Amino acid sequence: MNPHPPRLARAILSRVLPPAHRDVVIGDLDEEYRRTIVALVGTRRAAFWYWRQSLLSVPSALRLRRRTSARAASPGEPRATSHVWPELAGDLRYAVRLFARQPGFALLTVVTHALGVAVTTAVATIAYAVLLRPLPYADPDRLFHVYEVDRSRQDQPGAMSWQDFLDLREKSRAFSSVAGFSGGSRTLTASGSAERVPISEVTDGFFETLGVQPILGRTFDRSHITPGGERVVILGHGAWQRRFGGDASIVGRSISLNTEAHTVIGVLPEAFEFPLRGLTELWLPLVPSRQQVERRYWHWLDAIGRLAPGTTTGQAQADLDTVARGLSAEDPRWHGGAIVRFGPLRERIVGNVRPALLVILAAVGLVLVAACASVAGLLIARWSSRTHEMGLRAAIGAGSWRLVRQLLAESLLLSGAGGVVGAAAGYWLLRVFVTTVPRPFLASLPHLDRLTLDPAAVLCALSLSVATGLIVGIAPAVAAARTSPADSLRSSGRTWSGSGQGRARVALVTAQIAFAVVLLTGAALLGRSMWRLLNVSPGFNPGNLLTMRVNLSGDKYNGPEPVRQFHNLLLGRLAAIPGSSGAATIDQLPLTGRGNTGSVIFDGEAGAADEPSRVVAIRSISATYPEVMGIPLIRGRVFAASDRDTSPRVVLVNRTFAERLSRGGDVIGERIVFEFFTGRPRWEIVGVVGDEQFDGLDKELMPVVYFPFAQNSGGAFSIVVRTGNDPAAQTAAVRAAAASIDPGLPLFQLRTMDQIVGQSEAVFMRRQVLSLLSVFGVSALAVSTLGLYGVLAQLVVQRRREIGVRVALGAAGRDVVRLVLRHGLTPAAVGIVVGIAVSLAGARFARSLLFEVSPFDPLSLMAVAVLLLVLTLVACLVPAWRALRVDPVTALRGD
Amino acid sequence: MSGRVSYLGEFEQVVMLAVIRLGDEAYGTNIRREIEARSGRQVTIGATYVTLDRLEGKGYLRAREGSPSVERSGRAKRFFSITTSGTAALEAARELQARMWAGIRLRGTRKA
Repeated sequence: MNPHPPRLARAILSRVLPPAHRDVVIGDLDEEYRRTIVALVGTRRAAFWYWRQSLLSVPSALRLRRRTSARAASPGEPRATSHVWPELAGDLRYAVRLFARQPGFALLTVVTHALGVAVTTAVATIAYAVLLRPLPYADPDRLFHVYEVDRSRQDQPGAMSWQDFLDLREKSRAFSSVAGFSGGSRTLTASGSAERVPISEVTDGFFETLGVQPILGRTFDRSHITPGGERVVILGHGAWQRRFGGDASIVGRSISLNTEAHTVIGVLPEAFEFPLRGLTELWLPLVPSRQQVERRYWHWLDAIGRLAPGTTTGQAQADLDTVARGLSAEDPRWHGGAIVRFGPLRERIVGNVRPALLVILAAVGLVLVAACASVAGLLIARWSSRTHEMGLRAAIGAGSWRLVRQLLAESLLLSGAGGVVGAAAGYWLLRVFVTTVPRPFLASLPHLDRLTLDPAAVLCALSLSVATGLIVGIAPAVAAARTSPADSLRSSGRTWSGSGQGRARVALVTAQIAFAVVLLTGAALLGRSMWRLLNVSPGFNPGNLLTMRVNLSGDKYNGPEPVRQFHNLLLGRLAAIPGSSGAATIDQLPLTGRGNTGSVIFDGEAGAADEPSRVVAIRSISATYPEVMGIPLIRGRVFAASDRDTSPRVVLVNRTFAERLSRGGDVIGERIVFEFFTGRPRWEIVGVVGDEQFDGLDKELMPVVYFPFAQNSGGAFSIVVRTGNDPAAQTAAVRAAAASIDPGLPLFQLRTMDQIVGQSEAVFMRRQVLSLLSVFGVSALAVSTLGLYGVLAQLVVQRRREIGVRVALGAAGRDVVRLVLRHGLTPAAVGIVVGIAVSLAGARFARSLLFEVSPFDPLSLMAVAVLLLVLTLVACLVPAWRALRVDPVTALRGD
Repeated sequence: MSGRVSYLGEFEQVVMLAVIRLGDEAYGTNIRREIEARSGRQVTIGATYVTLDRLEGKGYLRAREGSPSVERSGRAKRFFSITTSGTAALEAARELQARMWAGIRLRGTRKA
C-alpha cells in the first residue's frame, strides 16, 4: 500500500510556496509522510500530521515567497506586495460601509448563503461518517459479515447455527479469524436496584478479529465459551464510566447479572463501538445452551470474519462454498441447500440507511446550489442598479481593474461571511441531529455517537461559498469594467430585457424553479408513500396500547411453573387496573422484527425440512392476546383457559398460513410438528386469526403459528395493556402491579404501540427524509417565487417608458398584462419542465424509499406543476397590477 | 564576508549544526527531524526552509539538487552543506557565547 498524502493540504501549501522551493518542500513532506509518519502513527493520524505541517508552514512559505521576489526585483523597484494589501483592505472597508448602509440586502444574502452552507456541511459530515469513514477497527476493509443465506426471505443474509459456526471456524482457510456474536439483555443488580441493560454475547476471538484491545484486563478465551466455565464479563467504556465511576481497580471484581455473580475481566476503550449491537453496555462470553449446541437447524448466531492476508474475495467465496457443501453433506435434512456468503461489514451495518442518506445528500446538494443561485440573483440585481455609480467612478478616473476588484471584494465579503455563519449553523444543526434522533438509531450507525463537524466538510463548504462569490462576482465585474462610462451614465438602465444582467437573472430564476420542482417532487412522492404506509393496517388496533417487556430469570424462575404463575398473576392484576380494558402477553411484539421462525411439518409428511416455503414465524401468546389486540378470529376458536399444559396441544395460525400452507382442505384440525420441541409433540390447529404485521409495515405478510403461553412458555415476553385513555399515563400503575408480585423485577422498553410504529425503520427513515425534503422544497419554492417576483417587478419599473408608449398608442390593459405574464410564465414553464425531467431521471435512485408509489406517479408530478404555476401567477399579480397603473403621461415625461 | 561575520540567531545555529551532523544526508526532512529529535520542539518544514534559505543567502550554506524518488512523488531533493564562512560564523558564535558566559554562575536558578 502506498498512501497518498492529503491532496488538498498539499495543494494549498504548493500554491503558497514560491516555485523555486515548491518541489523540494513538498517532496520532503511526502517522503517523511510515506517513509516515517504513516508507519509510526497510521494513515489517519499521519494525514492529520500532514495537514498540520502544511498549514503551519503557510506563513513561512509566504516569507519565502517575499524573499524570493525581493531578490528577483531590482533594488529600486517597489515590491508588488507593498501596496496590494492596503488597497484590498481599503476595498473591504468600503464594502463593509456599503453593506452597513443597506443591511437588509447584506443580511438576506448572508443568510441565504449560510443556509446552504449549514445544511451541506451538517449532512455531508453525517454522510461521510456513515458511508465513507473507515470503521474504527484495525484494517477495517478486510472485515466481513459471514452468513448463511436465508432462502425463506428472498435470499437475504440470515443467521447461523452453532454447529454451522464451528464448522465455518474450523474449515475456512480464507478467513484468518472468525467470531460469532448474539445479544440480548440482562438484569444488572448494583447497590440494591435492578436495571435491565443491553448486552452482547460474543465468542472468543471476537475483539481480536476486530483488532480491538481492552484498556484494562483481557478478552475472552476458549475456556469462557465452554458450558460450565467461569462466569466473566467485559465492560464497555460507557458502562464502566457511568455505572462504576471509571474505577481503575474494577478488573477482578464481581458484578451481579440475572442474580448471578460475574467477574469483570476487562474494560473496552472509549473509541470502541459495534453498531450491529450499538447499545451494548456489557460484553459476555457466548456460552451456547445444550439445545443450541444440539440443534443444527436452529439459526441464531451472526458471524464476522477477517479475510486472511493475500486472499482474494473470489478465493474466499470458493472457500465458503466448500464449507457450505460440508454442511449439506453432514446434515442433508436441514442444510440440503445451504449457501454461505460474505459481505463487507460496513454494508451490513449501513446498507439499509444508504438510500435515505443519498437522497438527503442529493437534496442538500440542490439546496446549496439553489442558495448560491439566489445569492447570485441578489448580487446581480444589486449591481444592475449600480451601473450609474460604476460609470461615475470610471469617469473620474478609476481603472477597470480597480472597479473589478471592488466588486469582487464585495461579493467575497458576503460569501465569506455566509460561509462562516453557515459553518457555525452547521455545527449547531449537527448538535440538534445528535440530540433529537433516537439513541438506538444513532448507536446502530458508525461514528455518530461522537460526531463533530468534519474539518474537511467545513473547508469544502467554505471554499464553495467563496468560489460562488468569485464566479458570481466576476461576471458583473467584468461587464462593469467593459462598460464605457459615458454609456452607463447616459442610459441608467432604460433597456432591460436585452441586457446580459437581465438574461442572467431570468436564467437563475428558471434554475431555482427547477430545483424547487425536484425537491417538491421528491417530497410529494415520499409523502404519498408515507400516507400509503400509515394506511397499511398492522392487523391490530394500535391505538391506546401500552407495551413493556419482562425477563424472568435466576433461581426464582427456574422452570416453566413459576414463570406461568407469575404470568397469570400479572395478567390478572393488570386487567384490574382502573382504566385498563384488558392485558395480554406475546413473546415478541408485532412490528419489531420477524423474530423466531421455525419449519413447519404436517403430521405424517416426509421431505426436505429446509424448504423456504415451510418457514413460519412462531409466537407464544396469552389466551387474551387476539381480543386485547383486536385481531379478528376468522374460523375455529381462540385459546381458552382450558388449554393447559396437561391438555392436548393446540395452536392458532394466521390467514396467510391458512392460504399458503393449506394442503387442500381447511387447515383447522390439521396436526403440525416442529423439530425443536422435545418429544416432537403434534399440535392441532384449532383456529385461524387475521394477519398481523410482524416484520414491518413495508414488508410482506408471513405465515404465523401462535402457541398458547400455557403450553409453550419462556421467561422473556412482552406485555400489552389496552387502556381507555392516554396509554403512557398508565405506566406507574403497571409498574406497581408488577412490583406487587415481584418487587425486584425490572420492566423495560416501556413504549406505546404508536411509538413502536413511529420508531419502526419503515416509518422512521421515510419520515426523516420526507420532513427534510419538505423543508428544503418549501424554502426553495419561497426563494424562487420571490426571485421571480423581483425579476418581474424590476421589469415593470425599467420598462415603464415602453409600457407608457404602448398605452398611449392604444394598447389595452389585456396587452400590458400579457407582457408581464409572458415574462413570468416562460421561466416558470421551462423550470417546471426541466425540474420534472430531472426528477424522473433521479427518482429511480430513491425507489427503495417509495412504498406502493411509482417514481413516475402522475398525481405527484401534476400536483407539483400546478402548485408552481399557481405561485408563478401570484408572483406576476402585483407587477402586472403596477404595469396597468402606468400613466402614459408621467411615464413619458419622466426621467 | 571578509573578516567580519554577522552574529547567528539561535535557530540559525541549530539548523547549521543539524546540517553538519547529517553530513551527506543533510536535506529538508532529515534536517527537520534531526532538530525535532534533539531539541524536543516541533518544527515545521516551512520554518526550516525559511532559515535554510536565509543561511544560503548569507553564504553560510551551499545547496545542490539531488535526485528524485518515488517516495517523494518524483520530486528532487535539495542537499545542504556548510561553507567555510559558515564554519567561521559558527566558530565565532561559540566563542562569543564562551566569552559572555566566562565567570558567570547562575546560583538562583540552579537551586530551583
